[in-house]
Amino acid sequence: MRELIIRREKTLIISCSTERGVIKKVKISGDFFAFPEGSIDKLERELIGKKVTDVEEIVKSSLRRCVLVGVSLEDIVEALKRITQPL
Amino acid sequence: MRLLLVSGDAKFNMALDEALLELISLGRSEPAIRFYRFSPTAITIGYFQSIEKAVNLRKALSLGIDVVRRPTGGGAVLHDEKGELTYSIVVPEIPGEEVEKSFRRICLGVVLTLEELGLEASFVPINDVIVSGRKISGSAQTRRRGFILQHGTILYNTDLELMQELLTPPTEKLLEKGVSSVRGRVTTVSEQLGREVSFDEVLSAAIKGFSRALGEELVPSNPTEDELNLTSELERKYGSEKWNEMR
Repeated sequence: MRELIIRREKTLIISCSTERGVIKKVKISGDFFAFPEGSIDKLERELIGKKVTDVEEIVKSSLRRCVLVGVSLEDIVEALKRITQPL
Repeated sequence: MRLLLVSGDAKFNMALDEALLELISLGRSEPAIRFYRFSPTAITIGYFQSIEKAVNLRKALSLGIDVVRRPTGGGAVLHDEKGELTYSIVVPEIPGEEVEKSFRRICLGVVLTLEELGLEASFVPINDVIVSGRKISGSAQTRRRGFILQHGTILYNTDLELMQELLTPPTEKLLEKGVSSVRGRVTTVSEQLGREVSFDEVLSAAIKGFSRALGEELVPSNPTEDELNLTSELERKYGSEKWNEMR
């Protein structure tokens, strides 16, 4: 699993593994707030098996009703894009 | 508002906080505020934290300190049985109010508690209260059906060395704040007053401080049967590996 840490007002840590451009595993963690909390669990489930090129669309759609505090939706998109880029 | 003063271990404390949010948000319980401690000393981690990244698990295990995931976001906390008072409150959301403003509104109770103890404190966004530039209280929230559960700490005599050994914040976060350790950016009521204060003294100040902040009397009360039954159910979740190790 690759890991990326982004620091804003709070910290966002994304761990992710991909295979041939498809997300196999992903964990979004950190000391931020998100309401409702379950929307981050749901996003993780929705990312599995998806193409890395579709990350932005999935995050924006999945978190459209989620209120994030300490990190932003753009931070999550940016982190996922960076971590899924080929080495 | 009802005032509940029951304390327990980490899983009981988190279970009762969630039970209060659930039942109050369903209209089956009246709003309530709790002041409590963790017996025995425990660590709680934020809903989204990775247990391995946030806590020195080997050290916690060797000291027999439980680590329990909270229903709320935010960071890891050491709840020192002999040095920390926790508050928790369930209040309605104000439509359109930003999260940071709600933290500020509810943290006024912490600021006034510290004022009752003779300290000048201020709220610092997102969720901290500081005295003399150092953190003395942190809070966290979750929300359900238009109600907010906010709980947080008041460090009155916490073992800050132990806190530093057990919690493992990313180094850069401390460097950004211009200090080299947890110890350097956190303080306690006892440290600030230059004398050892007791739980009861802080409790008495907290009852006055929150009562002033809320503009209402806090009426000593016991959890309802409904609340205790749901707490027992939820304790299973907070005691499970599935919940505590989910990240």
